[in-house]
Parts: sequence; structure tokens; C-alpha cells
Amino acid sequence: MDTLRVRVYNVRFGDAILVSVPDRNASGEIENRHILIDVGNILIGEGGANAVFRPVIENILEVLNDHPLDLYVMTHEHLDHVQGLLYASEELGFEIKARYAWLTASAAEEYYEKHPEAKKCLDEARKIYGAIECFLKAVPESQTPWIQTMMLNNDPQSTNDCVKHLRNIADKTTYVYRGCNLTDCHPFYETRFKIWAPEEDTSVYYGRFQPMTLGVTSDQQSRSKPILTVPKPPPGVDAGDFYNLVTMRRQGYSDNLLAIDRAANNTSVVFSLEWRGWKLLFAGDAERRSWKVMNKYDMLKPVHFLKVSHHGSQTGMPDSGLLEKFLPETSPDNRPRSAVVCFYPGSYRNVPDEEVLEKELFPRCNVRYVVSPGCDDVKHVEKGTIPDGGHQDFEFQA
Amino acid sequence: MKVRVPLMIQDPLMAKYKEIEPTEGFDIVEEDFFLDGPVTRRVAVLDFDSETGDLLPGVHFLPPPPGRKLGKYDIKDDTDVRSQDFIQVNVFATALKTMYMFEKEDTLGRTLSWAFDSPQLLIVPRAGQWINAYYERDSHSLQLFYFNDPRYPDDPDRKIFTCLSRDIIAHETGHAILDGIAPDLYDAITPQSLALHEAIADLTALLMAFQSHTLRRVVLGHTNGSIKNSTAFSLVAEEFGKACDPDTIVGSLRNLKNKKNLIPGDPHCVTRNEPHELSEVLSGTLYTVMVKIHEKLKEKYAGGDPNKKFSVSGKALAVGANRFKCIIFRALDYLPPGEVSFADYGRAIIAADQASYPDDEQERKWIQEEFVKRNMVLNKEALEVKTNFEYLPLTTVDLQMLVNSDWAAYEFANKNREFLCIPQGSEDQPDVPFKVRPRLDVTKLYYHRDGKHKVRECLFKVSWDQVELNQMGPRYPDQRPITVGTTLAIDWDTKKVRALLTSDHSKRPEELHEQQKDRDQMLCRLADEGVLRLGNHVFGPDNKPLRSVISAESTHGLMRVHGAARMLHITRGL
Repeated sequence: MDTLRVRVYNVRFGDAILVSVPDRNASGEIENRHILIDVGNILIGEGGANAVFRPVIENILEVLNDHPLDLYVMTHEHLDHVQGLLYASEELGFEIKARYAWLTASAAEEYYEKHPEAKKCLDEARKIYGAIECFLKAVPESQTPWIQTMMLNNDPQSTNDCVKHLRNIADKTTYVYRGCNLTDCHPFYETRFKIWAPEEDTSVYYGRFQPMTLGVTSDQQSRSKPILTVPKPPPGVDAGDFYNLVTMRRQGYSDNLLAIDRAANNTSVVFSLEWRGWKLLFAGDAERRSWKVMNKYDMLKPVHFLKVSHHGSQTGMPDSGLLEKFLPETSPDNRPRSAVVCFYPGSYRNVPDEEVLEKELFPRCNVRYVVSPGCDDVKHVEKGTIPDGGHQDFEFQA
Repeated sequence: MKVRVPLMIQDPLMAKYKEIEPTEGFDIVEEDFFLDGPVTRRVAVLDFDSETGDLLPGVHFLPPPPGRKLGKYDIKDDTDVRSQDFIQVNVFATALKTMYMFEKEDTLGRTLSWAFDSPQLLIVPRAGQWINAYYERDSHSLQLFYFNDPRYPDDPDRKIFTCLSRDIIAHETGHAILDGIAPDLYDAITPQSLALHEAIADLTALLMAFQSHTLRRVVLGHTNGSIKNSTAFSLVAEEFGKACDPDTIVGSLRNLKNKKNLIPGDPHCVTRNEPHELSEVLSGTLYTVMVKIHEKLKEKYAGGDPNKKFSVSGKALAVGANRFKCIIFRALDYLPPGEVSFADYGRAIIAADQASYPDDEQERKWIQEEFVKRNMVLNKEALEVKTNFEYLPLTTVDLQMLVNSDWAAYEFANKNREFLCIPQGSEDQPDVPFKVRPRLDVTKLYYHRDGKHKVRECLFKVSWDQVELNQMGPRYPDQRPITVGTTLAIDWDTKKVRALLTSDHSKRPEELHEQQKDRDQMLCRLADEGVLRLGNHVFGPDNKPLRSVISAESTHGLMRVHGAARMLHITRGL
């Protein structure tokens, strides 16, 4: 009996998923085709251990058996999704090639020339990122592990290097978005794909940034360390009130860092794969705004498998109303349903949000975790642990 | 000592457009001291360089020369409204003038206090580049931003400074003042409570506009003595609104001359759970009443001669605005604590006005009619309140003791639970705990037919929590506490009850149900937008609370929300 297999690797805090599909061609012959989604982890802290990549890449190559991937999908431009293959190439000497690749639309080199609104948003985000970077250099003690992780994950330069590598991984690369034409963009015959997100114009994913007066001066020419301005209260003003105000005026940077991160997550390629009655959904790191846009365009239809978005965060998990549309409490066709959450505790605060998973997802399907054994702070260890570099398989029989 | 300061009559572009002189003078007489900045005991202007974060030098104070009593601030050129020294003095003067407007004997009759534990409101006139301005309790500040005029994106010199808009400064100062008067509104989760904050802030801007003799003269000159149509009075923050939305015909942030209502299916019906939109229903209602007051006074002063109506329109507007100010601001002191509805505010208006002007019903009738017309209440009876009545236990109460002693206040509340609507316990349920708020001893001036009268009142407020269902879905606790309370206004001399008003709607089930539903809808919307965050989701990567979210905490199955109004000011803007 033909079996579709979703292999989810434990790369700690990141995604690496290999989907193997027995695809029947025009003459009725079965060809086992392989789709690789992302490969990366967060680079910093325990969640970013590089050692996990060797066994993962070795296993992928073993499965491919000297053949190229049929399709590679880069969901979005975050290091925890994109840096693995460049690392494998440069540090481990493993080259993974593909016949076709899908990269999120905004990863195209000429994308921002064609989308001025998105460019405006990105420019603002980059400007804010630069200001925060400067502030953190001036006040290194204000860096928390979470800030370091987010800064690195959203670092435009490091991400650019990885994306550049991925643009050239395949014979044919397509930059995908909802509504794009997928004809001749993949080799599958029997398997059907549908892109649910992102929108072509990614400006829809940017929110309003908070004002922040970080009070840092830097002399670009002398390349000296930026200096934090410490104003003094004028006569007649209480010093406590004054410094409270100065501190509060700086605080918007934390919101803005999250907003920058969120905008990139929302550019995730979210796609469904339909094969012999099974429907699988790979959601990248789509967050609330992307789910709402998908709903607006009536994309949310029942599925049997969900790669849970954004490592199980509260913002990646759509609310009950939307969830009900693609993962209704009662299966419409009585087929079993499953979901997988990949994470490494302590990398991002509140990710995953097990309370939300417990309330929203557990009652709807069989949820499995891909998390390293022995991690503290995992409430539902019974949902599964996988050794570093190991994998969890989900099988769907025809 | 008196200090004369200039302030903007309206805003730079509108002033030029309408050929209105940009500034007028204002004399400050009631401050303890004046320092560079300007800085006084109650207001300090902190003009930060938004790029470097450094504090720019404050404008110098020039004390009166020997033998003189008039001081001033050293503005080099008071026709250059974009200069640093003018900007600093303008925000200072406008904020103080707004405060004085509330404090006068013919309005609240008392010195204002802030909702924060400090005497000084900090004003940042150029807080940074953003299309916004806000009041924030936690930083004790008004923050006024500037932005490049979107109509001239390539001209960085054409900046819109919100600190040069009288409407915007008055609006934000209005928020700060209201927060001191009704602090519960800051944590309220009832859309109408939050909308009340916005409406009062807009009406504060309106009343500040009415205070300007120049503006009254010019506007009435253009309109043949009428405020029935949209004018510089009804349009809030014209320069700002025009810049943000150049395609609008009228062009303003909001227009108080409107037909917005809560009638389902009506083309002017607003969303019940969006406080800014909702606020326009209330401000539109009250503006309509103001127009009627103006028309009535014109009629009266013209003595039936239609040719005189224009010439008396200025006086009618000045007098009418004063009456209107009393009606809408005095009601704030009568407002019961906790989550309040438009109906609660309507009842507070009626009570405050009825207690003061028992024989002059016309304005109250207009208010009742307009509240019913816009479906803010079902019928006129919903706004009826009993005033000026005797309550026997009060006759023996020492009011000075009640004001000064917390113990006496708690004792009084506990002994008079039923009267104050505080729920009693039962055999198996302990008494509901309550909180007595600081009492106010106020002396107000009333203009009766036989002349001016001073009335001294004791304002006594008590609050407690009720629990209701929190219908927000599985991610949130099943219940939430709602703060409600009662205001008791006592005539100091006669010890009669001038008013007794409660926000406990349990005896008004229709209002209660409606408000609960509105709360559910607004909270769900805020959660859906990611603005309402529960537990440690309120913390950002720097381990400090995020600025752009409303925090909610879950304790013992109850969801308690903090600072919804702060979010409204900061993230939704003006």
C-alpha cells in the first residue's frame, strides 16, 4: 500500500521537514518524490546547536539516494528556517540540490522594486532594527537572551547570505504567494498543492511601530561605540519622575523588535498538499495577521495534518473560530488527524504556549511534539521527545 | 504675580487658511512658582531632542521687573510659532488654561489632582516622529508627536506638530484631568466607559475653542452668528485631520456636529465596541444640546428681533458655553465609580444640573431627548434621577469628619450599605468588601435667577467588585470582576442628598446585559488583534511589559484587565 510520509526532524528551535510522496505519473507508475521544507535553527543558545545538522542532512541525503530533491520550500526569511543548508554546504561539505524550489515571494531579489508599499514597510523596519542594534551596542547590559535571539534571527545581513544560497539551490526557483501560478513549478503529477499564504504584497503584514526615543548618539565616521544620552532633570522637576519618563520613552523598542519578527513570520509560505484524500497543511511561522488574511480569502479548509505554526506560540495558533474552519472539532470525513509542534524550550519566551495548545489543539487532533528529551519546562512530555537530529514520522496510507 | 503667555488660537495651517491671527494672550495667576522650561508646581515642559534623547534648554522665565507684577517667558519672536521657545510656552499655556477651565468656581470649584502620585504633569512637546499624541498615567505625561505632512512627503520642513494644535493639547490634557476625576475609567473594559474618556477629551477641546474671544468673533462672523453647521468649533484637530486624510471634504480628526447613533440599521449607527467611534455618539449628542442652548440664548438676548440675532450671537455663545461647561464637567464629579455607561453619565448630567437648577428644565429635556433619539437609552425615564431629598441618617453625620477620616467614611458606608447599593452578605456569604474613595469638599458657584450662589458639597464615593461571565473562549478565564460603585453628593449646609447615583446595573437588567455584551465583544476583538494579552505574554524580550498591549491577569479563575484606556491612547492614537 502506498504511504505518504512526513518526517519532522529535531533541529532544536527551528524547522526541517521532509515529505516523501508516492506520486503516480501519467502512465500510472509510482515515483517517490521528496519535498524538503526549510532546515534551520536559531543559531544562538541551546536551541541553536549546530551539531544537530549533520545527522539531519545525512538522513535527508540517505533518503534522496543520490537524487536531487523534487521540491525545496523556504517558508520565510528567518534564520531558524533558512540557515541549515548553507551551514551544511559551508561547514559540513554537504550539498543538497533540488529540481524545483519555492521561496516566499518577498525573497525575490527584485521583489521590493516591484512592491513600493512593502519596501516602505521594510525600510522602516530596517531603520528601527538599526536603531535598536545601535542602542544595544551602547547599553549591552540591556540585552537578554531573548533579545539576542531575536536580533540574530532578524539580522538582515546573515539572512541575506542564507537566502542567496537557497535562491540557487534548484534548477527552477519560483517565488510563491497566494494566487500565483504553480504550473510547471513542481514535478508532481497526482499531488495537488495550494498556496494559502503569503499575500503577494507583504505590506499587509506590517503593523504600526511604536515610537521609541532610544537616546543614542553614534559617530559613524569615527566608528566609536555609540553613547547613551543621559539627560538631567531641570530644576523644579522630580528626578524620579523625570527618569521614569526617560526610561518609558525608550521601551517601545521591545514592541518593535517583536513587530519586526512578526512581520517576517507572516510572510511564511503556508501551503496545503492534497494526496489521495489526505490534506496536509504546512504553516511555516504564520502568525495571527496571516491567518486572518487567509480567512479573509476563504483559504481555510479542513485538513488532516498540521505543521503547527511558529513553534506552537500563542500568536501562531489561530483562535478557535479560525481553527474550527480547517481543524474542526469533529473530523468531516472521519479520517484521523494529527499535528506536530517543533520547539526547544527557553529559546523564545512563551513558545510554545502549552496552555493554548492544550485548550485549542489537543481536543481536535493527535498532537505530537518534536522536542529534545530532558528539556525542562515541557508540561506535556507524553506528546513525545525526539533525540537531537532524530525525527518523528507521520504516515498517511492511500 | 501674574505671567502673560501667548498660545495658539487654533493651529498653524488653519489659522493661515482662515485668516485668524495665530496666537492670543493668556494670564496665569494661580501658580506657586515659575521656572525655566516652563516649569511650575503642576506642569513641567520637557522638550527632548527626539534624535539624541537630550533635554533641550527650556525657555527662560523673566520675573517681573522691580515694582511690577507681570512676568513673562523669554520668547524671542512670538510670531514664529515653530520656534523652540514658542512651542514650549504654547503647550504649557494651553495645558494650564485647560486646567483652569475645569477648576473655576462655576465649574468643579476645586483644585484638580492627577491620577498619579505626583503633583506635576510632564509635557513632552516634540516626543518624536509619529502620527499621534497621548496621555499616559504611568509616565505622568502628555506626549505630543510630529510627522511629515503626507501631502508633501518630500518636504521635511512641512512638519505637522501636534504640540501646535490647541485642540490636541486640550484633548490630551482633558484625558489627564478626567483620569484624576474618574480614575476607574483607565482600567475600564466597558466600551462606553472608554468612549466617555474620548468624548470628554473632545468636548474639552471644544470648550477651549469657545474660550477664545478671537475665534468666537471670527467663526460667528463667517456663519452669520450660528454654530449649527460644522465650524472650527465642531471640527476637532483640523490641521491634523486634513493632513492624515487630505481627501475629506471637511477635514478634521472628528466632527462633533454629527448624527452618529446606536440605532441598529441606521446609516449613522456606529460600532458598539470601538470606543473612538462610540465617543462621537456622546460628543455629537452634547454638541447638539450646545447648539440648542446657543439658539435659545440668541433668541432671549435678541428679544424677538431677528435682526439682532447676529449681534447677540457672541454673548450668547460665551454665556451658553459656560452653561454647557457646567453641565458636562460638573457631571463628572457626580459620576459613580467603576464601569459606567453613557446612561450613567447622562444620569450624572441630569442630577448635577437638576440639583443646581431645579426650576430650569429646558436643557435637561434636550439632553434626555437627544439620548433617546440616538438610542443611548431606551426612554427618558432611564435618565430620571431623584435629587435634593432627605436621608435621615445624614442629618447626624459630621461631614467634615466624613471627609477627613477614612475610619468615619468606612463606618458610614458600612452602616448604610442598602442606601449606597452595596450588596449585603447573607447567612453563608460574607458581606461584599468595598472601597471608599477620597472624599471631596467642593464649593461651586451657581447662577440662579436671583443672582450668584455658592453651594458647598461633600462628594462621597464607594466602589466594590461584581463578578460576571467572561465569554471570550477557551483561552481565557471564565469570569471577570467588574468594578461598580455609588456616588453620594451631600449639600453641606442642609445635609440633603443632592444626588445618589450608582453604576451597579443589577436593577437595570437591560443596561447590564447590553454592557456585558459590549464588554465581551470588545475584549474578543482586542484579543483577536493581539492587543489584549494574558499573563506573562505581556512581557517583551527585554523582560519588561510591552507598551502596545493591554495586560490581563488570571487569578482564581478571574480575568482582571489593566490599562485598557492607556492602550486606547497609545496604540489607537488621538
